[in-house]
Amino acid sequence: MGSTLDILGRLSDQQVEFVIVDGLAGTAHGSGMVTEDLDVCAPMTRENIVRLLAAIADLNPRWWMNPNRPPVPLDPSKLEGYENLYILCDWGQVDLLSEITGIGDFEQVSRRSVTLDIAGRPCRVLAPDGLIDAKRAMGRPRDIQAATELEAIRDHLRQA
Amino acid sequence: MQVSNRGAPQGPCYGKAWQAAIDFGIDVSQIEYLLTLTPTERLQRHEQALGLVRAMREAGRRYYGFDPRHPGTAE
Repeated sequence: MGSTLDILGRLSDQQVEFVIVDGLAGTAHGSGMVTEDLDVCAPMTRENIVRLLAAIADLNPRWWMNPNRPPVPLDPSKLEGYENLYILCDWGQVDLLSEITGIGDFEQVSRRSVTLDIAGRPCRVLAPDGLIDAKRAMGRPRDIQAATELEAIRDHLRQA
Repeated sequence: MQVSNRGAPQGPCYGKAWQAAIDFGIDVSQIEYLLTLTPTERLQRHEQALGLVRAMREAGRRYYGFDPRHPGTAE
Protein backbone atom coordinates (compact mmCIF):
# COMPACT_ATOMS: atom_id res chain seq x y z
CA MET A 1 0.00 0.00 0.00
CA GLY A 2 1.15 3.52 -0.71
CA SER A 3 1.89 6.24 1.79
CA THR A 4 1.51 9.98 2.21
CA LEU A 5 4.73 10.42 0.26
CA ASP A 6 3.17 8.48 -2.60
CA ILE A 7 0.11 10.75 -2.54
CA LEU A 8 2.47 13.71 -2.80
CA GLY A 9 4.10 12.06 -5.78
CA ARG A 10 0.72 11.54 -7.44
CA LEU A 11 -0.25 15.20 -6.92
CA SER A 12 3.07 16.33 -8.31
CA ASP A 13 2.95 14.00 -11.32
CA GLN A 14 -0.55 15.23 -12.21
CA GLN A 15 0.68 18.82 -11.89
CA VAL A 16 -1.81 19.71 -9.19
CA GLU A 17 -1.03 23.25 -8.05
CA PHE A 18 -0.45 23.19 -4.30
CA VAL A 19 1.71 24.30 -1.40
CA ILE A 20 2.34 21.87 1.46
CA VAL A 21 1.32 23.50 4.75
CA ASP A 22 0.87 22.61 8.42
CA GLY A 23 2.36 19.46 9.97
CA LEU A 24 4.16 17.91 7.02
CA ALA A 25 5.57 21.28 6.01
CA GLY A 26 6.96 21.43 9.54
CA THR A 27 8.35 17.92 9.10
CA ALA A 28 10.16 18.99 5.95
CA HIS A 29 11.76 21.88 7.84
CA GLY A 30 12.84 19.68 10.76
CA SER A 31 9.90 19.36 13.14
CA GLY A 32 9.70 16.11 15.09
CA MET A 33 5.91 16.23 15.54
CA VAL A 34 3.92 13.43 13.89
CA THR A 35 0.82 14.22 11.88
CA GLU A 36 -1.75 12.01 10.20
CA ASP A 37 -2.77 14.07 7.22
CA LEU A 38 -1.32 15.86 4.23
CA ASP A 39 -2.55 19.46 4.30
CA VAL A 40 -2.09 21.50 1.16
CA CYS A 41 -3.23 24.96 0.19
CA ALA A 42 -4.54 24.85 -3.36
CA PRO A 43 -6.58 26.99 -5.72
CA MET A 44 -10.05 25.48 -6.03
CA THR A 45 -10.23 26.00 -9.78
CA ARG A 46 -11.90 23.48 -12.03
CA GLU A 47 -8.58 22.72 -13.72
CA ASN A 48 -6.90 21.99 -10.39
CA ILE A 49 -9.78 19.81 -9.23
CA VAL A 50 -9.61 17.81 -12.46
CA ARG A 51 -5.91 17.22 -11.81
CA LEU A 52 -6.59 16.28 -8.19
CA LEU A 53 -9.19 13.73 -9.20
CA ALA A 54 -6.82 12.26 -11.79
CA ALA A 55 -4.26 11.83 -9.00
CA ILE A 56 -6.49 10.04 -6.50
CA ALA A 57 -9.47 8.61 -8.42
CA ASP A 58 -8.22 5.02 -8.12
CA LEU A 59 -7.46 5.37 -4.40
CA ASN A 60 -11.07 5.05 -3.23
CA PRO A 61 -11.50 8.72 -2.21
CA ARG A 62 -14.12 9.30 0.49
CA TRP A 63 -15.33 12.34 2.43
CA TRP A 64 -13.37 12.49 5.68
CA MET A 65 -15.78 14.78 7.53
CA ASN A 66 -18.80 12.56 6.94
CA PRO A 67 -18.82 9.67 9.46
CA ASN A 68 -20.33 7.37 6.81
CA ARG A 69 -17.37 8.14 4.54
CA PRO A 70 -19.37 8.37 1.31
CA PRO A 71 -17.38 8.33 -1.92
CA VAL A 72 -16.14 11.61 -3.32
CA PRO A 73 -17.85 12.23 -6.67
CA LEU A 74 -15.40 11.92 -9.53
CA ASP A 75 -17.26 14.51 -11.58
CA PRO A 76 -15.30 17.77 -11.15
CA SER A 77 -18.42 19.88 -11.56
CA LYS A 78 -19.75 18.42 -8.30
CA LEU A 79 -16.70 19.65 -6.39
CA GLU A 80 -16.89 23.24 -7.57
CA GLY A 81 -17.73 25.83 -4.93
CA TYR A 82 -16.10 24.07 -2.01
CA GLU A 83 -13.66 26.15 0.03
CA ASN A 84 -11.96 23.09 1.46
CA LEU A 85 -11.91 19.39 0.56
CA TYR A 86 -11.20 16.83 3.28
CA ILE A 87 -10.54 13.52 1.57
CA LEU A 88 -9.66 10.12 2.97
CA CYS A 89 -8.18 7.71 0.44
CA ASP A 90 -6.51 4.32 0.65
CA TRP A 91 -3.04 5.82 1.04
CA GLY A 92 -3.93 8.42 3.66
CA GLN A 93 -5.79 11.64 4.30
CA VAL A 94 -5.36 14.74 2.18
CA ASP A 95 -6.90 18.11 3.01
CA LEU A 96 -7.11 20.76 0.31
CA LEU A 97 -7.51 24.21 1.82
CA SER A 98 -8.22 27.36 -0.15
CA GLU A 99 -7.00 29.65 2.65
CA ILE A 100 -4.63 29.41 5.57
CA THR A 101 -5.43 31.27 8.78
CA GLY A 102 -2.85 33.95 9.50
CA ILE A 103 -1.61 34.07 5.91
CA GLY A 104 -4.43 34.19 3.38
CA ASP A 105 -5.33 32.60 0.07
CA PHE A 106 -3.26 30.41 -2.24
CA GLU A 107 -1.44 33.34 -3.86
CA GLN A 108 -0.38 34.70 -0.49
CA VAL A 109 0.62 31.25 0.76
CA SER A 110 2.51 30.61 -2.46
CA ARG A 111 4.52 33.82 -2.05
CA ARG A 112 5.68 32.60 1.35
CA SER A 113 6.68 29.14 0.14
CA VAL A 114 10.00 27.60 -0.81
CA THR A 115 10.69 24.77 -3.23
CA LEU A 116 12.15 21.61 -1.73
CA ASP A 117 13.20 18.40 -3.42
CA ILE A 118 10.95 15.72 -1.96
CA ALA A 119 11.65 12.19 -3.14
CA GLY A 120 13.06 13.54 -6.38
CA ARG A 121 10.24 15.97 -7.12
CA PRO A 122 10.23 19.73 -6.62
CA CYS A 123 7.47 20.58 -4.14
CA ARG A 124 6.43 23.95 -2.79
CA VAL A 125 6.36 24.04 0.98
CA LEU A 126 5.30 26.88 3.27
CA ALA A 127 8.48 28.44 4.69
CA PRO A 128 9.16 28.38 8.45
CA ASP A 129 8.20 32.05 8.92
CA GLY A 130 4.81 31.42 7.31
CA LEU A 131 4.25 28.26 9.31
CA ILE A 132 5.00 30.13 12.52
CA ASP A 133 2.58 32.92 11.60
CA ALA A 134 -0.13 30.36 10.77
CA LYS A 135 0.41 28.46 14.00
CA ARG A 136 0.44 31.60 16.12
CA ALA A 137 -2.78 32.74 14.44
CA MET A 138 -4.50 29.42 15.18
CA GLY A 139 -3.45 29.71 18.80
CA ARG A 140 -4.51 26.29 20.11
CA PRO A 141 -2.11 24.68 22.62
CA ARG A 142 -0.84 22.23 19.99
CA ASP A 143 -0.26 25.12 17.58
CA ILE A 144 1.67 27.07 20.22
CA GLN A 145 3.86 24.02 20.79
CA ALA A 146 4.45 23.66 17.06
CA ALA A 147 5.24 27.38 16.71
CA THR A 148 7.68 27.20 19.62
CA GLU A 149 9.46 24.26 17.99
CA LEU A 150 9.56 25.99 14.59
CA GLU A 151 10.98 29.16 16.13
CA ALA A 152 13.76 27.06 17.66
CA ILE A 153 14.40 25.50 14.25
CA ARG A 154 14.58 29.00 12.76
CA ASP A 155 17.14 29.97 15.41
CA HIS A 156 19.18 26.90 14.52
CA LEU A 157 18.97 27.54 10.78
CA ARG A 158 20.12 31.15 11.23
CA GLN A 159 23.22 29.92 13.05
CA ALA A 160 23.96 27.16 10.55
CA MET B 1 3.97 10.53 33.00
CA GLN B 2 6.48 13.32 33.11
CA VAL B 3 10.03 12.85 31.98
CA SER B 4 12.55 15.15 33.55
CA ASN B 5 15.46 16.39 31.51
CA ARG B 6 17.23 17.52 34.67
CA GLY B 7 20.79 16.33 34.50
CA ALA B 8 20.65 15.87 30.75
CA PRO B 9 23.71 17.18 28.94
CA GLN B 10 23.34 20.79 27.87
CA GLY B 11 23.77 21.24 24.15
CA PRO B 12 24.50 24.45 22.31
CA CYS B 13 22.00 27.29 22.49
CA TYR B 14 21.20 28.87 19.13
CA GLY B 15 19.17 31.82 20.43
CA LYS B 16 16.24 32.96 22.55
CA ALA B 17 13.68 30.85 20.67
CA TRP B 18 15.90 27.80 21.04
CA GLN B 19 16.03 28.36 24.80
CA ALA B 20 12.25 28.96 24.86
CA ALA B 21 11.74 25.59 23.19
CA ILE B 22 13.90 23.90 25.82
CA ASP B 23 11.90 25.66 28.56
CA PHE B 24 8.67 24.51 26.85
CA GLY B 25 9.89 20.92 27.15
CA ILE B 26 10.59 20.33 23.47
CA ASP B 27 13.29 17.76 22.70
CA VAL B 28 15.73 20.02 20.89
CA SER B 29 18.23 17.18 20.45
CA GLN B 30 15.68 15.63 18.10
CA ILE B 31 15.50 18.89 16.17
CA GLU B 32 19.29 18.94 15.88
CA TYR B 33 19.26 15.41 14.53
CA LEU B 34 16.41 16.06 12.08
CA LEU B 35 18.21 19.12 10.73
CA THR B 36 21.09 16.86 9.68
CA LEU B 37 18.71 15.05 7.31
CA THR B 38 17.41 16.10 3.90
CA PRO B 39 13.70 17.05 3.60
CA THR B 40 13.00 13.70 1.92
CA GLU B 41 14.76 11.81 4.71
CA ARG B 42 12.74 13.77 7.27
CA LEU B 43 9.47 12.83 5.57
CA GLN B 44 10.54 9.17 5.29
CA ARG B 45 11.38 9.15 8.98
CA HIS B 46 8.00 10.75 9.68
CA GLU B 47 6.30 7.93 7.75
CA GLN B 48 8.11 5.40 9.92
CA ALA B 49 7.08 7.24 13.08
CA LEU B 50 3.49 7.45 11.89
CA GLY B 51 3.55 3.71 11.16
CA LEU B 52 4.66 3.09 14.74
CA VAL B 53 1.94 5.38 16.12
CA ARG B 54 -0.70 3.52 14.10
CA ALA B 55 0.62 0.13 15.23
CA MET B 56 0.47 1.22 18.88
CA ARG B 57 -3.06 2.56 18.43
CA GLU B 58 -4.12 -0.72 16.87
CA ALA B 59 -2.53 -2.62 19.78
CA GLY B 60 -4.49 -0.44 22.22
CA ARG B 61 -7.70 -0.96 20.26
CA ARG B 62 -7.22 -4.75 20.35
CA TYR B 63 -6.42 -4.69 24.08
CA TYR B 64 -9.41 -2.56 25.10
CA GLY B 65 -11.79 -3.80 22.45
CA PHE B 66 -12.42 -0.22 21.36
CA ASP B 67 -10.45 2.85 20.43
CA PRO B 68 -9.40 4.30 23.83
CA ARG B 69 -9.26 7.77 22.24
CA HIS B 70 -13.00 7.45 21.61
CA PRO B 71 -14.45 5.28 24.40
CA GLY B 72 -17.96 6.07 23.17
CA THR B 73 -17.34 3.89 20.14
CA ALA B 74 -17.01 0.69 22.23
CA GLU B 75 -18.60 -2.25 20.43
